[in-house]
Amino acid sequence: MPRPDVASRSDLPPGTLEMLILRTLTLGSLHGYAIAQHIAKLSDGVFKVEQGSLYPALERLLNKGWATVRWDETPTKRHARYYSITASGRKQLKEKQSHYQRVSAAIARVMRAS
Amino acid sequence: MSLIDGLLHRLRVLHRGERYSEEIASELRFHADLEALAQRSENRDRVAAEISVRRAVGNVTYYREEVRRMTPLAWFDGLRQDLNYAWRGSARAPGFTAAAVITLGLGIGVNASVFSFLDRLFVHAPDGVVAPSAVRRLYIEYSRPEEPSGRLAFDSFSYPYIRALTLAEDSSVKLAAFTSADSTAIVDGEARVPVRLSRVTGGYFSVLGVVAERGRLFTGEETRIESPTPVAVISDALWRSSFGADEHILGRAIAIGTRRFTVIGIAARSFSGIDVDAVDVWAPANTYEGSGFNGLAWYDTFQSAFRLIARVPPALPETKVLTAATAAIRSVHLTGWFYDSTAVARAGSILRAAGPSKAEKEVSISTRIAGVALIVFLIAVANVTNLLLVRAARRRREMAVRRALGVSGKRLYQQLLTESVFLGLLGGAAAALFALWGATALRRLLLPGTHWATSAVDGATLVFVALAALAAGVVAGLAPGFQSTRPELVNSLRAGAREGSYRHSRLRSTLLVVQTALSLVLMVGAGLFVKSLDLVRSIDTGYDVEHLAFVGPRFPGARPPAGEVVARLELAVSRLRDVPAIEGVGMTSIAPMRGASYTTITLPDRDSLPEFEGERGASVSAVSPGYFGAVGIPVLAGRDFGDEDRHGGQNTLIVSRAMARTYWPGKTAIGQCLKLGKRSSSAPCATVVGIVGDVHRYDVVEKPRLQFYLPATQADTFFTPTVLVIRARGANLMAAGAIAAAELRRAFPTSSPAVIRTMAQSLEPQFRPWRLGARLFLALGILALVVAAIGVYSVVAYSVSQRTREMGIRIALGARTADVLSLVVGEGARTVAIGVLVGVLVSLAAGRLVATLLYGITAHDPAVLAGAAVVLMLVGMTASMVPSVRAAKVDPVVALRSD
Repeated sequence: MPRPDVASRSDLPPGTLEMLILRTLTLGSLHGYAIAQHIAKLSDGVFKVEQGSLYPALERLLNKGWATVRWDETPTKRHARYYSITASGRKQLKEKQSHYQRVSAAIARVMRAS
Repeated sequence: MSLIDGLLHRLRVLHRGERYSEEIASELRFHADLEALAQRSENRDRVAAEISVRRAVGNVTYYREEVRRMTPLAWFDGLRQDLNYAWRGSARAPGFTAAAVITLGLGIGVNASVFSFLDRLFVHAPDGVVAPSAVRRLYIEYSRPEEPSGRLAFDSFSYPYIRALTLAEDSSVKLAAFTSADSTAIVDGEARVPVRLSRVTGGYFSVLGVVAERGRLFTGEETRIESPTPVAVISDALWRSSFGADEHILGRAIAIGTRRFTVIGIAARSFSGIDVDAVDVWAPANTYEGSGFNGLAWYDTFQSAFRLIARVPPALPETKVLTAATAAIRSVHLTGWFYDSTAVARAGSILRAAGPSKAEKEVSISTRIAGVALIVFLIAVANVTNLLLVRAARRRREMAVRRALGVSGKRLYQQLLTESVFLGLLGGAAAALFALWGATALRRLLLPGTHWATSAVDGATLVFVALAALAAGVVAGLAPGFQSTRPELVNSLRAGAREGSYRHSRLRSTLLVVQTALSLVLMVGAGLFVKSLDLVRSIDTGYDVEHLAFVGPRFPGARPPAGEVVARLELAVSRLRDVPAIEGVGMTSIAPMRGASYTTITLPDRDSLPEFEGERGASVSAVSPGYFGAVGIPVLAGRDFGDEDRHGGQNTLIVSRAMARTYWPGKTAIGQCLKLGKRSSSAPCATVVGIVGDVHRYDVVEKPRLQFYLPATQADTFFTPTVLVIRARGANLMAAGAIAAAELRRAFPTSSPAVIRTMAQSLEPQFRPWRLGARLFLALGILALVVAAIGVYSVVAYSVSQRTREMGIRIALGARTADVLSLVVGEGARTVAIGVLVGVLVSLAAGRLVATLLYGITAHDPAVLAGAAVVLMLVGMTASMVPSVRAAKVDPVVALRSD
């Protein structure tokens, strides 16, 4: 069975995963699996976020104060850790986003020119 | 905000600890479950689905560790590893560990002892006092140009001052007086309990905010100064230790001295007065045992000695309080016998040592000792740094291997710092043990008469030890850690690198220089104090100190009339003259150097008395014929008192040489007239019949003073001779004293057994400050010397072990033993010589810090400096000699084959 084109962790520029997670969290409180699913779905399966990179990244966000976490009940009556974005997380996301847009626009211009 | 959120998260993680790790695990399992569910539902190929499910689930442990690495828990994991490593490393090198731990233990322990002492004296507010910073001690300060500060403050007030101050101050200022703790005993039924008693005025407890734990404190009528009320408040400590925490203590009658007191209360727990000297019993000031004078009650005279405290409300400026106090003090001065226009009131901290009064010599010494202790600490840290540097150099290859295996430099540095901090903490533990002994010993040494309320090592001291240990560990580990984690060390992986890589370490030599220099400073300090002590001991006080003893009759009740006392004493003296063990005997109104009496004198032909060394007037004592011969004062001109100087005869006196020269300059004093009493009095002239040698009045170290003597047989009641002075023939002074005491019992059958005091005994306390300085400096100096010697030895020994091959080659090429010796010893000696030079310069600069505590020499005494330099050079040479001999014995064949 042909594997979809999956990006591994090393393909993502540093900090990109955090940006994607923060963007996802602007939708509301989510648990880790939902975050991973959301990113995978929106990227058409290009970014398949593995637990080994997702959870350390989430822990980093917690340490930096950009996200908070609490235990809550899922609709299926199970307990899961729900992550939410903080005010400073939103600010950080805005900065990352504008930086990303500048860089990608610049890359696009260079690629077009050649 | 983000910082706080992040910090809170980390704190939560630290708080939850391993449970947080469990949470992550369950979160990961939850994720894996959902993942498996999704795989199974979406994948029709069951085998492929199971494989991806297993893949997802199987790695939970690995993921968990990955997350954990992000949390602060990871830091603790690293720390645990490092500590484990440090522990095994220390156990593997017991010699090294012992040297480092003992060095640090002594270095920190000495400091902790001094810290505990100074903390109690200068920082730690007395326990049980409410808002101690608002309680101020009051002082009278006089201008004294001869003092270094130009001023001298006293905290001793007699009752007339207290009354005037209370009247003068605003009613919002609460004022109280207390006497310093006095050793006495209470008699409770059959039991006799030694206690420390303080007499206090009514406001004492309320000024301090101290309440009664049981019963009550002094109130209303009990505090009236005119009527003695025999009630007492005791401390909680005394109640527990001497009364077995008896529930029925209140109302109990106890005897203090000749009075019976009723116990009315127990003061709040932990309160033991506000001086370092703990108090067990408080009694109202009106029970003060003063006899009064000239028909005045004691509280109208100047004989009592109280200390004053005030609680000043925050709204009232202190200057206002002091202005009122100064005015009150001057008004009292105008009525009294003592007037000094420069008197002003001063306020100081509740801690007496932190106030403006002149520090006792012991306290001054303790502050210098703090500096010395700091030096010992620096030497210890320098030494441990050096030991670690040597060890780091030995472990170069190990470090290189670990770097090559991918351990980050940061991680390695952290590990090395953990090792040195671990050593530091072990040293701290040793220091705490040392301080248990050292702090108590220091207290006993510096203030032996003090009953300390608190134990010598308290929480503050332990915190100090912990911080000092931590600081020592970090500082000692910084440089060695830096040296061994430098990336160029990878070079040392090359085969044979060990031999070739020996270089002079500038850091090691610098540390050695610092150690040597500081040790020299301490040796110089010790030398200065030892020499001062020597010089003070050789001061001639004018008395034959070694052979003198004093014996006086003690009367349990009233003293017999003066005439009778003199007559009986004379009888005893005449009997004692024939005793072969006694070379001389005499009577005096006051034992030499045990105090002084004054009386108003005038010169008939002069308006005022001439000034001598900043003092007008002279002290006086009444002495018997033969007294001068007995105490060793030479009669320089005229005659000694004799039988002719009786009541009814011509009034006579004898003056000291300095007095003769000052009062009658250019003429002979013999035959001159001095009037006892005021100019207006009708008293007849007393004729000078003799001039005797000068003697000291109070102190071994004092300016020359003027003194004159009245014949005991003419003296009035005020100068009744009550003390026999015995000069022993030969060495057995106490035996001679005992004979005199027995004779006194015969002369006064109703008297209590006489107390024999030798002059040497009574002067001994005066040598204490110098002896203390000499002892403490010498002890710490020798300690520093030993540590520095270890430092020199370890560095030279290391360099020798690293240069074995070089020595082998030299010897193979024909170097003789002497050549190798001089090569290695020369290296150590050079470093020590530089250290000595630096040390001499530092000593010269730091000399003024101890100058005021020295006697007879300057802090720049060349002999002391040279002596210390020689001692240090010798120690340095010896320390480098031992490893040098080993170097000279190198067998070239073995050396060249090694490695």
